[in-house]
Amino acid sequence: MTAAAGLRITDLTVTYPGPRTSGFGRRSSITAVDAVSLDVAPDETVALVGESGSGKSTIARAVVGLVAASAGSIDFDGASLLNLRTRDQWARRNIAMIFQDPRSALNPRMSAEASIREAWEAHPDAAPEDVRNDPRRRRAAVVDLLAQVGLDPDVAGKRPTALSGGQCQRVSIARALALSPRLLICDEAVSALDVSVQAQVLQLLVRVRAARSLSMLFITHDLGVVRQVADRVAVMRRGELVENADVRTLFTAPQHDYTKQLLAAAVDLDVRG
Amino acid sequence: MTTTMGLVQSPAPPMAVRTGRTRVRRVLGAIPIMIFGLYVVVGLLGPLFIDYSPVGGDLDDRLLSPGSVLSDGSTAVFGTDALGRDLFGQVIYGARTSLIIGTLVVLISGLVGILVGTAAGYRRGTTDLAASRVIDVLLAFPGILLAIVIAGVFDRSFAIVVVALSVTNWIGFARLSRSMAMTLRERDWVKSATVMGVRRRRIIARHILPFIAGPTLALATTEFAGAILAEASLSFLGLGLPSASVSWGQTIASGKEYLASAWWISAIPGIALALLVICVGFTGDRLTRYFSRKQ
Repeated sequence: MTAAAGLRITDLTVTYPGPRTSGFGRRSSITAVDAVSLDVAPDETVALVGESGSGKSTIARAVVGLVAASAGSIDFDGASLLNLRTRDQWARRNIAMIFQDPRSALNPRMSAEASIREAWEAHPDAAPEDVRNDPRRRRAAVVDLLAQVGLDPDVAGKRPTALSGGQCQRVSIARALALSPRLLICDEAVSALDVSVQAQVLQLLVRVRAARSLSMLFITHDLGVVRQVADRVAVMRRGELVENADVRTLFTAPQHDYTKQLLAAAVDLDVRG
Repeated sequence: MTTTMGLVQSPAPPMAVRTGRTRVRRVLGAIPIMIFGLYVVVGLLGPLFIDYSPVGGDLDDRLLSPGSVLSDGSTAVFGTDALGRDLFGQVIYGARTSLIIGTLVVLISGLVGILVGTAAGYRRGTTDLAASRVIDVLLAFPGILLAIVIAGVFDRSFAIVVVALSVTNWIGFARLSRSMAMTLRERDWVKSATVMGVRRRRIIARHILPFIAGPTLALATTEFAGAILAEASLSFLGLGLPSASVSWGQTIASGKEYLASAWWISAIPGIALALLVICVGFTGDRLTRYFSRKQ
């Protein structure tokens, strides 16, 4: 096997405790992700699609350590991400995540600047050099990051309640980029936005990904979005990976019945809408 | 899904909408807060204007009705008790005692309660299990009973009263902050801080505690009233403060044999106590409504 660069998920299984069968009975368990293997190479964007409840978000949460894996392994650049206690700051710095709801991902009592600076406070060694050496330069560094995501400098002092959904999501992206991560996980990052804003944020993500040569795991239920961002598509259904193919191959010659259904449904909507 | 927070920025209501009736309601709503403020001022500054000891009295002046002239020529506005002590002085000094005890109990129990509750709600697992069991056990006792037991075992002292009341009062704070921390830890901003590798203490300090603070303040006022009432109860039972200090509970107790002949001994500090507790309660309700609207 070649040296494992990028993200490598092998036979990942995640189970949640289910309802008790009786008052004193054992808890049954629900398998959200069932033996899924998936790689994201450096500089590659993989879209993970599937209907709600298919386990795609659970995979994202397992990669960033928000849920524990029951079996299997997750490695990033050859280092295991699974042991949450020893999971080090290195992984946290190199893997960033963008959440679905642009507003609740930012603390409503903190300004955009404070939210972004928090990343540098958690990882002083990852902050830009001038920020580390001169605290007065912090504001300039924040403004610089905001400019990269297409926001005006005056956004820095504003709280999320004073920003639009699209602006909030851009601040989230700026915060994610603050530590120069190598892998960006977008969990339905544009699903909660208006269609026009959605397109802008999507373009921003594509641009940022190219400029910084990031790996990206893009989770969505929207196949239209997939075509714009992904190199490769993995299709999930009920916790299992049913298809994993090139974007072009998947859209022109889907193999699995479920993928065909998904595509048909998406085309239907396109025609009508 | 959208958040509950400020998605719709409602424009400021036009001034004309404020009719006379709402203005009357606003003024009426402010009265309890003003009375509470008056108590605080009296408790802080009142004793400075009283140049005699509230616990020293002349037996010649015993059981005088409100407004009587004492043997030294001064007037006892609230009358005197069975030992000739001036009730006005006792009420003023009693206000100070009540406020100090209430403040200390709320500070101590609030600190302990928030600490335990937030840790339990945020960390879950065994921490939560242990804290919840302790809370369940303490909840099984009527609060005042536990305070009576603790105050009864030790000698009467100021510190024991504060401890005895704090032991039961922290539970309310712990339950509130536990349930709030449990929902807050599921919010995305907490998760994104976790993913980013922000240290746990910092997450609690920045992303959880600020959101617990408001409702805790509202609860603190209610607990403050409860503590004042409980201290008066302990002192009434003779388990509270040492007899050298002045407490409304003691004053009320000292008048209970004279209810038919000298009603003012029990009635005046009783009214003072009731008015304070009611006003603090109204203030607490208002704060609760304010913070639940803000959420």
